[in-house]
Amino acid sequence: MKKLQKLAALLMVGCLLALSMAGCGTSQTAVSNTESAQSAANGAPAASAPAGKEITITFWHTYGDSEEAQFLNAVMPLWEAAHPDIKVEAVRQDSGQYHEMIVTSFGTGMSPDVARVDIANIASYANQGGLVALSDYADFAEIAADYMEGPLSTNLYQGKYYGLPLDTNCKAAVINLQVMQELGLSAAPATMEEFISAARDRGSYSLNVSGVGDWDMYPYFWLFGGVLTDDAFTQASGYLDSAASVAAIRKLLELHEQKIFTVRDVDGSVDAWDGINSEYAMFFEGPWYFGSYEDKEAEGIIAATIPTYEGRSASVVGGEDIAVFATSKHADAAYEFAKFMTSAEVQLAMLQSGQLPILKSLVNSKEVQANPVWSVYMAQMESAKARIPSPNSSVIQDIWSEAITNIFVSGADVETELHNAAQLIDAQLK
Amino acid sequence: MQRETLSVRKSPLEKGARQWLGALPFVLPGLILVSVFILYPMVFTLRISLSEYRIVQGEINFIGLENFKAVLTGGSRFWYALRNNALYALVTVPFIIFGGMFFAYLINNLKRGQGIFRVGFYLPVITSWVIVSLVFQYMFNNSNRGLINYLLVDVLHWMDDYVPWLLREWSGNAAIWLMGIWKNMGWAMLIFLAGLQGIPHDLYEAAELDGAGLWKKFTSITVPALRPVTYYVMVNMIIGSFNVFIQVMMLTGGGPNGRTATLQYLLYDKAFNQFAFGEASAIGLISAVTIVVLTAVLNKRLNLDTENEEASA
Amino acid sequence: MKGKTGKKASELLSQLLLWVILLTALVIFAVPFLFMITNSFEEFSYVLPYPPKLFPTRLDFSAYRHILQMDIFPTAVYNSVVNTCLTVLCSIFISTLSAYGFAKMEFPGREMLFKIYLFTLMMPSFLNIIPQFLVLRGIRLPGLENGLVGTRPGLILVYVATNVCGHTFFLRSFFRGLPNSLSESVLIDGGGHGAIFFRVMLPLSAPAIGTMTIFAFQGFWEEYFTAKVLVGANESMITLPLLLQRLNGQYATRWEWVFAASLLALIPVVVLFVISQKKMVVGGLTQGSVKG
Repeated sequence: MKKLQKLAALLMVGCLLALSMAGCGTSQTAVSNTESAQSAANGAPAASAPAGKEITITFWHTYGDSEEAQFLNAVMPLWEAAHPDIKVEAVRQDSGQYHEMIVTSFGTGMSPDVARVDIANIASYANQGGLVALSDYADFAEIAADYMEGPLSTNLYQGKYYGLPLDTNCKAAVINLQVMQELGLSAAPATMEEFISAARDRGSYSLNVSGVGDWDMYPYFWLFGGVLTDDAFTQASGYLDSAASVAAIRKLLELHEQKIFTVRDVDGSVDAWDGINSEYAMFFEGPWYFGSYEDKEAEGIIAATIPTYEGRSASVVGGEDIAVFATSKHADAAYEFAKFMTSAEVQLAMLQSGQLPILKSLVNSKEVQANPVWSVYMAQMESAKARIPSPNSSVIQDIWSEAITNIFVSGADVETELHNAAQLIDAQLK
Repeated sequence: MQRETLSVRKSPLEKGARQWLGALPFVLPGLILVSVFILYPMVFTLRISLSEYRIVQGEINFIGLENFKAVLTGGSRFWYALRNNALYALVTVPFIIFGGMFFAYLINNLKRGQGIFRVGFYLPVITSWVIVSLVFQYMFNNSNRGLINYLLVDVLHWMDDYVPWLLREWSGNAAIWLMGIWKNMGWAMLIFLAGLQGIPHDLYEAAELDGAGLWKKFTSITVPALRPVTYYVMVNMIIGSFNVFIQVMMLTGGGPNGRTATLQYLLYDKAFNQFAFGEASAIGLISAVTIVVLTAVLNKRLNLDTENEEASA
Repeated sequence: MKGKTGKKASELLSQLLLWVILLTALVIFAVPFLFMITNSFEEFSYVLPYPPKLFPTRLDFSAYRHILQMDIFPTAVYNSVVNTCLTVLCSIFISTLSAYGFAKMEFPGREMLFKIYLFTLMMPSFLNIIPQFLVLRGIRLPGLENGLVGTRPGLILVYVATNVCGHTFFLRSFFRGLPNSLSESVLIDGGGHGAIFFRVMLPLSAPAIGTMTIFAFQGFWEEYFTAKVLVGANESMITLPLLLQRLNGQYATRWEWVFAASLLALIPVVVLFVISQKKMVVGGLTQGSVKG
C-alpha cells in the first residue's frame, strides 16, 4: 500500500507541474498582446480607423452620478457627431477600488483602451509599461501648449508625458464667516499673519487639517516656506532638510502648541467637515466640498484663496488625467478620444458638473468667473504645485507621513527627521 | 508457489485502481475544481514568489529567494505585521472559542426562546465585513463624535480625555481585536450548537441522576465531547487570524506607521501600491507556512483532533 | 411533593438566570446594529449626528425608498439571489460527495490529498484572482469572446471551487462521526457506496448540511472582490455587494443610504436563517438508529 501511496502522490505532483506549464502559455499571450500594442503606438499617428470599419473602444471612468449624467447627455453626443466610426463604450467604476481594478486588469489583460486616472498613479502605471507615451504623437506639442502647467506636469515620467490632464482641482480655504467674526475678522483673512494673531488668544483650535499625509500637509509646508525637491524631482537632500523646510515645520509645531492649528489624526480632534460648522474658522479643501452642500453660503461658509504668508499663497494640485493603455488595440482612436475630452467645448460642458478645466484659455472665461466657488479655485491654481510625480509615490508618502508623525506625536527632532526622510526619498527618486 | 507470488504482486495495484474507480464519482468533481481554480493559482503564486513579475507584459523572471530575503530583512514592517497577526490569534481565539461554547451551552439549555438568541448572535456574522468596519469606524471615532468616546467621557465620566482609538498602536489593535471577536463569536456559537446536538442525551441524564448541576455537566461532559468541533473552530479561527485584512484597511489603514498592519494588509500594500508582486507572494507563502506550523503544534499539544488519532491508530 | 416543587422552582430560577445572561450579552452584541438602524433614518448628511445617536429619534424611510427605487437595484437583487442559490446547490452536491469520499472510502493517496486540501485553506487567496481569471478567459466556448468571464456560470464555478476544500473539511469530520455500523448494514443488504451515501449518510447529516448551507449562503451573498473582478463591466451581472460599494462617493458618502442598503441586503439571509435554524435542532439522531 505504501508504494501505491507514493505513486499516487507522484502523479498528483506531476499533474500540478503540468498545470503550471500550461500557465506559461497564458502568460505568453499577454506578452504578444503587449508587443502588438506597442508597435501600434509607435507607428505614425494615423487618422481614425480605415474608412467604413467601425471600431469600439472602452473608456473607464469614475464619474459620480451628476458628472456621469452630464458626460452622457452633453458630451457623448458631441463625440458621436464628430467621430461616428469610433464607438466609445463608457464603463463606470467605483472610485473606491479603482486603482486595484486597474492593476488587476494589467494582470488579466482586460485593461480598457482609455481611462480617467488619478494623477498620483500615472507615473507608477507608466513605470510598469502600462501606458502609451502620448508625447510621441506629432501634434502633442501643439495641444499641450494650452494645458495649465501644474496639471500637465502630473503626466511626466522620465521625460515623456503618459497622459493628458483631464480635470483639475486644488485646495482652497473653506471659511466660516461667523467663527471668523468671533476672532475679530470681518471677512476672509488675506494674510496668514493676520489670521494667526487673531486666533492666538482664542484658546481652542481654529484651523484644522485632517492628517499627516502629502495631500493634507504639503499646502501648509509650502505655505510656510518649505521645499521638497529640486525642480526636476531628482533629489530631496538639500531641499527637504534645508533651513527653510525646517523652519516651516517648526512654524507648524508652534501653531500647534499655541492651540491654533490641529491635526485630526494626531490630536483626535473633530473632523473638519463636521467642525467647520461650529468650532473651526478655516480649513483647506477641494471644490467638491461646495458641490455637495447647496446652501453653504446661507450658513456663512465660503470659499477663499488660501491666505498668503510672507506674500505668497500655496496649494496642492489634485485631479485626474486621461491615459491610453499600452495593451489597447486601437491606441490611435483612444488618443483621439483623449484629445477630445481636453477640448474647450468638452471642458466647459464638464465644468457644469463641477469638473474644473485644465486649459489656460478657460481660466478667465465668463463661466468660471461667474461662479463664486470656481473662480476662487481657478485663481488658487496659480499658486498650486503638484506632488512629486514618481512610480514610488506611495512609498514617498509613507516616508513623509512617518516623519511628520514622529515630529508631532513623539516629539522627534525636526532636523534629524527631515534629514533621514530626505535620504530615504533620494533612494526612491533614483 | 510462483502463481501465488504473482497474484500477490498484482493485487495491491489492482486493489488501488479499483478503489480509485470506486471513489472517483465522489471525489473527482471537487478535485477537478480544486486543481484548476485553487491548486494551479497556488503554484502560480509560488512561481511569482521566486520571480520578478512584470504584470503588464506578463513576464516572469526567476530570481530565486531574493523576494523572501527582501521581505524578511527589509525593515520592520514585516515583523510588526507578523506580531500583530500572532497577537490577534492569541487574543481573539480564546474569547471566541470559550464565548461560543459558553453561549451555545446556555442557549441549548433554554426551554424556550432559543431561536431569538440564535438569530441575534448570528446577525454580526452575516453582516458584511465592510459594513461592520464602517460602523465600528464610527463607533471608535477619535473625537467626541464617536459613540465609545461619547459614552466613556460625556455620559459615564469614566475618563477625562477622548481616546484617539484608531490613531494609536494599541488602541487601534484593540479595536481590531474587538471587532474580530464580535463578528466571529456567533459563528463559533452556531458550530458548537450543532455539535451539542451530537451529544447523546443519556450522558446528561446519567449525570443529573448523580446530582450534577449545569456547570459540572458543562465541564465534564460537554467540553470533552466537543473536542473535534473545537479543533475545527480553532483551525478556522487561526486561519482567519492570519487573513485579517478588511478591518485593518478600514479601521486603521495599518497606521500609525504600520504598527497595526497585518500580513494580509502588507501583502495588499506591496502588490497594489508598490507593484512588488514577488514580495507579496512571498508574504503569502510565509503566512501559509506559519499557519501550518501553528496548527500542527497546537494539534500535538492540545490533542484535540481525536478523529485523526483514530485514523492513524 | 416538596421535592417536585423544589425542583421546578430551581429549574425556573436557572432558566431565568440563563435569560438574563443571554439577554445582556445580546444587547451588547446588538449595539452596532442599533447604530445602523438608527442612522439609516437620519436626514441627508455626510457626517453623522452629534451627539452620536444609538436609538432612533425619527422614523424616515426615505433612504430605503431611494435604494429600492434605484434602477439597478432589482437587477442586483436578482443576480445575488440566483448566483447564491445556484452556487449553494452546486456546493452542497459536490462537497457532500467529496466529503463522503474522504471520510468513508479508502483509496491510495487519500490522506495526502486531504492534507493538500487543508493547505489550500491556509494559503491567502488574494493573488489567486489573476490565474483564476486567466483560466476562465481561456475557456473559449463558441460565442464567448472572453471565455467565461463576466458570465454567471464562470462566477459560480470559481465560487464553488474556492469552497470545496473548506466544506469537505467540515463535512468529513461530521461523516467520520457517524458510526460504521450503519453503512455495514447497507453493505450486508448488498448495496454499494452509492446506496450508503444516499440512503443512510445524507439523511443523517441533514443538520450538518443545513449548517453548512447557511454559512455558504451567507458567504456567497456578501462576496465582493471576486465578483468585482470577474463581473467587472457587465452591469447586467451586478450583485448587491457591488451595488453597496457604488454608494461610496469619491469624496464623501451618504451614510443613511449605505446603512439602509446594508440592512436591506441582510434581510434575505436573516429570513433564511430564521427558517432553517429550527430545522437544525435535531438531537440524538444516531442513538435510535444504532439501537434498532
